[in-house]
Amino acid sequence: MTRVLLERVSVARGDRVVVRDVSLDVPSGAWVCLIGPNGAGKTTLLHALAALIVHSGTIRIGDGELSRMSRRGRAQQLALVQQDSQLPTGLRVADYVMLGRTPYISYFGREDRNDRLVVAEILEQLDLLGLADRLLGHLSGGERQRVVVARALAQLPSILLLDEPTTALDLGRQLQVLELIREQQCARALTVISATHDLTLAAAYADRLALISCGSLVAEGTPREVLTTATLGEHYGVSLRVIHDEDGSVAVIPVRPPSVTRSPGEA
Amino acid sequence: MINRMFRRRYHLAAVLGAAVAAVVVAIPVLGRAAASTTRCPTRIVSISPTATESLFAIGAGNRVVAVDSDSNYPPSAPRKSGLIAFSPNAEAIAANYRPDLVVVSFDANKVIENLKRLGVQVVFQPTAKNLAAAYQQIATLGAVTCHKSGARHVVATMQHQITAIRHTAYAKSSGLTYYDEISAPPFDFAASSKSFIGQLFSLLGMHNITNDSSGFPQLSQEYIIKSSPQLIFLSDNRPNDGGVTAHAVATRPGWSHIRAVTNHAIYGLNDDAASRWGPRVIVLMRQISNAAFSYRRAHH
Amino acid sequence: MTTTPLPDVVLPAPAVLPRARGRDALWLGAGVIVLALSMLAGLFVGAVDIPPQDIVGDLISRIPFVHMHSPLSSIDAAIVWQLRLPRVVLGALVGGMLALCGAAYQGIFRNPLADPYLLGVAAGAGLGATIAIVFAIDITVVGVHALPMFAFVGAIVAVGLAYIVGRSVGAGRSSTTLVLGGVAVAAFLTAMQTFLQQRHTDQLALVYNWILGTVATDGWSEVITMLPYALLALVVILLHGRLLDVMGLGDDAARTLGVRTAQVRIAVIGAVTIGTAAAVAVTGLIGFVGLIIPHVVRLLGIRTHRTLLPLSMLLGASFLVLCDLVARTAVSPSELPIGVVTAVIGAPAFALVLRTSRVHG
Repeated sequence: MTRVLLERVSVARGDRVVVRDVSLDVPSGAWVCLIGPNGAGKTTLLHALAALIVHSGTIRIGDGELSRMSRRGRAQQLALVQQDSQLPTGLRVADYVMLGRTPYISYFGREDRNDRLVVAEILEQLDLLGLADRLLGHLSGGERQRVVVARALAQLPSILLLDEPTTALDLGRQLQVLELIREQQCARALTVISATHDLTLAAAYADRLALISCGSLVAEGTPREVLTTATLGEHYGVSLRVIHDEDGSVAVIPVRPPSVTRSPGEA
Repeated sequence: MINRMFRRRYHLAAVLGAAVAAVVVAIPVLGRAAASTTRCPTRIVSISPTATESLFAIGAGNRVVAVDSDSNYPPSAPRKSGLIAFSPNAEAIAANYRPDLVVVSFDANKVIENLKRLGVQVVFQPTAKNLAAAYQQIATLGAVTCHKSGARHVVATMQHQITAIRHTAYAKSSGLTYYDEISAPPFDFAASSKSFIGQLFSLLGMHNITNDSSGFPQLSQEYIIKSSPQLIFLSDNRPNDGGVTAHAVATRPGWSHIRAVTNHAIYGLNDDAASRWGPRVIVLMRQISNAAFSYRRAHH
Repeated sequence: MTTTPLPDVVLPAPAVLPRARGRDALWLGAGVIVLALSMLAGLFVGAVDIPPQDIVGDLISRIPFVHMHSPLSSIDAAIVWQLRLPRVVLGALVGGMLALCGAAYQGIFRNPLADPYLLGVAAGAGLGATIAIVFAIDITVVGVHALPMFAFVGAIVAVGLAYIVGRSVGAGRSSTTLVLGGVAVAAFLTAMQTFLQQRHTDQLALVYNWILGTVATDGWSEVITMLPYALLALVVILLHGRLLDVMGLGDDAARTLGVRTAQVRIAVIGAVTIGTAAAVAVTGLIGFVGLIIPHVVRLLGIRTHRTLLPLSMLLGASFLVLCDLVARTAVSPSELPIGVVTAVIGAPAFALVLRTSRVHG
């Protein structure tokens, strides 16, 4: 279980500041979901956490600092599931998941028995054994997402980063993937940081939410705290209605703008 | 753990090393060249049209067993349509014709080295730069085929004939300007005064419109028209295999301003002789001097 | 190698995993056999009819301490051992190198249309060769003639230029800018080469001959010239098999897996450049092999570079040896340019393989 601490992190792309002075504490074993409008900087922040881009400020991973860690050290602690993973269509599922073991294999080395055991176990847990020999190009959307998560888990990380893991999936598959992640989070004591557009799902699964708007962290806390009509209305710029249920769940309902002419069927 | 990682590498390296060692050992075992002979050759192959002409001229023709597909002179030469000067195969030449001498003007497919390895004597005679070099090549052929006196005779005859032609023609030809076309527009390749054929013209005191050092420059039509040579020669004037006729040249746009065109002084040269440097340079010289004569007759 | 403690789960046997491992080994074995047979065919068959059993007999008679008279005449023996053998070995070496480099480039650029001449290698080598030919440079340095030396240097310089041009344009990390840099450099160098050719048309046939490609040998000199570079390239590329699979996930994913993508790319491109330049320097530009052979191997179901690379090498070697066999016998006593043969044989064969594989899905 690893804690992630961001202290005044800023990221610039060219001369444009995309992420501005973000300070965020992700407790160990928690699931924090980054929400916010398009272009707010969620993906950029995740990429900074994955050390794909340079950041100013400090990112602490457990006791160490991200920029001081070695490449392999980072890869053994952090795994990133990208928004649209480019899957090489000709590869088999088992071989693809095995690529997740790369951080543990030397430059010219090859995988050993231990790596095979790890991959076998992950395939079994994610119910992918039947698909082990299937080509990546022959998978459905839901299967593909499971496979991508499997590859990330093969890194045996302590922190899992997910960028829009449920885009392009139907509701059933979305829930499946999120349940899967929740399961694995408990089983492997992972700290999860994800970014998503779906506010309701984010509220259902994440322990804490962080609302990013125009590169800055504007709200942070439990889903009930962050998802309020005022907060969301201000930063998304649309009319919303937030319902806090008694059992703790939160739902976000869009409110359609009043129209001048009534469409037929409405009173 | 490290041992395990490297064991497979060891195997791979050992196999590679053994293979390389086997090849290295095999080379001296297998690499003994066949012995070569130094007697007079009895079976000659020529894949150079110029050398073919020379061989027959010096009297070695009866020893020639095969010539390439372009060697069309003399007509009695044993032409093999499959034998192509630009893509020969040493193994096939050696086996099909069993030569003890091969004359080559273009080293394609490393044929010279390969023939030597098969114990065949090879004489390499590329395009001659000038007449002296052409004479030397004929002399070499004579030495190599045991026809030294035949070669001497041919060279002497060439020299006498050239002298004779110069003697009669120089007064008429000297000072005339000419353009020698190798290929028609849009390619526009000319033979300059520095080419082999250009030097023949120079012997007659004629001036080429270009002295380009490469020998075969690509001239712009503007330049040709501006230079307005008094005579035009066509080295490629067989229309049925891509050449041009005098009429085609005269009707090119803008060319009517050229003196040679207005004076109807466009002459075709023997296509084959114009691309070779053997005994038939005499034919070229005669054609050139005849052209000079007829030009002078028409225009004092 | 560090591992985090595994959760307490009952583990299935690793046998469910890449079962393909055994199958791949079979393919490699088949590849070795095909190459051996091809090389034997190249040795036994030629413009001249020499019975194979006599060739074997001649080989045996050369073993020290074996007192047997050779059944071959000295000229036939010279044909077999001094003409055919070096030529077959060179064909295998070049064919293998081109196919290996093609597969490596297709992997590193994640593009199925990549071939080993991608970054201007062909144009650079062509210019170098043209310079050596038209200026009649005839020096020999350390046993290497001017022509292959200039071609080799030209190839390396071209790739270097492509790298510089690509870096100055884009962010420097993208392989697209590198490829585009190679296109620009190739166009420029080809123009220079054409200019030189036009100025020296008497050498045109020689230059053209070189460009069409030939596996003809002058004894073992071509093999020896090429061998050290080929071995270096071979070793480096084969060792990067697994990393090429990782690079296939995209730069970002590869970096999150701890891979130094820029270094891997440089290593592979460097090795391919050296191997291809060495091949081109001694045989001219033989096309088609580097592009198509890796695809044929993929159509056989080989997915991972660990097997794709060596199998491409074996298949490419066999293919070129067989094409050369056709080139030197089909129009005897002349030879066909080998580039023509590789295209004429390879294209329909590839189409056929493509069709049958589509049937199986």
